[in-house]
Amino acid sequence: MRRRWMIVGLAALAVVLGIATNVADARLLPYGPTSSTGAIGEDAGAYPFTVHVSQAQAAHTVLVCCRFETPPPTGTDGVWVVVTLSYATADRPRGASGTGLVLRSADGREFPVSNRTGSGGWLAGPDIWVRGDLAFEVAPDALEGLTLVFDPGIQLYGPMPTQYARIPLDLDPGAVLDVIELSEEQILGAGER
Amino acid sequence: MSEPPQEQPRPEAEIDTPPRGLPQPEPAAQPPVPAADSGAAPGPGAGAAPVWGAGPPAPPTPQRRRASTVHVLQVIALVVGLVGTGWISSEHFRTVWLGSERDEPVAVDGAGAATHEGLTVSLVEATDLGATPSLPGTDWQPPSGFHAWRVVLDAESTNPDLFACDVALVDGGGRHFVANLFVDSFVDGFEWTFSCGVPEPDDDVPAQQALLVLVPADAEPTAVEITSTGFSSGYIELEID
Repeated sequence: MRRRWMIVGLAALAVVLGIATNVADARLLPYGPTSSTGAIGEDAGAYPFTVHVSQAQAAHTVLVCCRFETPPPTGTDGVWVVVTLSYATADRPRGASGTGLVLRSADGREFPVSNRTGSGGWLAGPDIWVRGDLAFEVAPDALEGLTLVFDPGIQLYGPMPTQYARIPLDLDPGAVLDVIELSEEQILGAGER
Repeated sequence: MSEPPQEQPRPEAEIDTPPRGLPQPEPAAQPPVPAADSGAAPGPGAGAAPVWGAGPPAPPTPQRRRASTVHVLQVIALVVGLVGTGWISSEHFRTVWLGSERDEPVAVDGAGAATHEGLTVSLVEATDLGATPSLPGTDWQPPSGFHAWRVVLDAESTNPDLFACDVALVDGGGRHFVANLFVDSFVDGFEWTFSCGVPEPDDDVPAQQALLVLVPADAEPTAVEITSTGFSSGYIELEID
C-alpha cells in the first residue's frame, strides 16, 4: 500500500512539474510563449523582433532588382516563393540572419533563403520597421502547407529558449506566376507594415 | 461433492495455547513487560515462558536489513541526482555570468565629460530637428512618424586601438537609436561615423562631430551612449539635460 501511494505521489509530482513548466514558458519568460503563431497580415512576436508578412507568392523566375542594370530573370529547378516581410525590434538595431529564416513544409522539410538573390535579411531598429522581399527555392510538391519560421536565434537570457514565430503562408499550388520582381528594402513610416 | 475429512485440524491448534487449568491472562489490562525485568513476585506458573505477552524484540531479519539498505541507496541516488541536475543547469551561470564583468557606464565629471580607456567625450548638443528638418546637401527626410535628431560630441582620444565608436540615443524604455543608421549617410555638416581614435595628421575630423539619428516621434531620449568593440568593458553614458 505504501509503495502504491509513493507511485501515485511521484505521478502527481510529474504532472505538477509539467504544469509549472508550461506556466513558466507561457507567463514568466520576458517575451511570452516560446512559439508564436501568426498569419499573413498580422504582427507576430519573435522577441526581440516583431514580424509581419504582408504577402507570399510563388513564381517560376525572379527578377533581382539592382541600381544600375537589370539582370535576366533567375530560374530554378523548383519553385520560387517570395515572401514580402517587414520587421522591427524592441530594443536596439538588429539584423535577422538568414539561418533563422526558413520555409517549413507540411512534412517537415526546411528551405532556407536562397543565396542567389542577394538579400538574406536586413537591419531593423527599435520600432523602426523595414520591409523587403525574401526569396526561397522550394520543391514544387511543398507549396501547399508552407510556413515561414522566423527564429532570431539570439541568447538574450543565457540558456533560456528564445521566441520564434511561425506564419502559415496559404499558397495556392495552382497560382504560380511567371516572374516576380524583388523589391529593395524600405524603411517604413510609423504604423506601416 | 466429496465429503470433508473427519479430523480437520483447528486453526488455533497451530499456535501455542496455555496449559489447561491456568487462568488466561488479559493482554489489554497488563502492560507487556518482559518477565525477566518485571521484578514481580512469581505467581502460579512462574518460570514458564510468557505466552500471550510480547516477547523480547526480534532480531532484524535479512529481508528487513536489505530494505533499509535499499532506502539508504535511494536517498543517496536522490541527492546525487539533485546535485547533478543543479550542477548542469547552472553551467551558464558558473561559466559565463560569474566570469563576465558587469557592463556599467563610467563616471561623468563635473564638467559633463567622461573618460574611458583613453577616450574623453562630452556632449555638446542633442537637439530634436523635427519631422521635416532642413538638411543641407540632401533631399532625405525622415519617414512619417519619425524625427531627425542632431547629436554633437566633443572627443579626445589617446587610445590607439579605437577607430570608430557607436553612438546611440537611449530613451526611458531602453530603446537604442543608433546614429547614422536608417538616415542618409551624406548630409553636409554631419559625420558619417563617430571617430574616436587617435587622429592622424592628415585627418579632417573636426573637434566637435555632429551625427544624425532617426528617432520615433513618440520617443524621449534621455541619454547618449557611446560604445565600442575596442573597449574591454563598460561604456560611456552622457545624460541629456
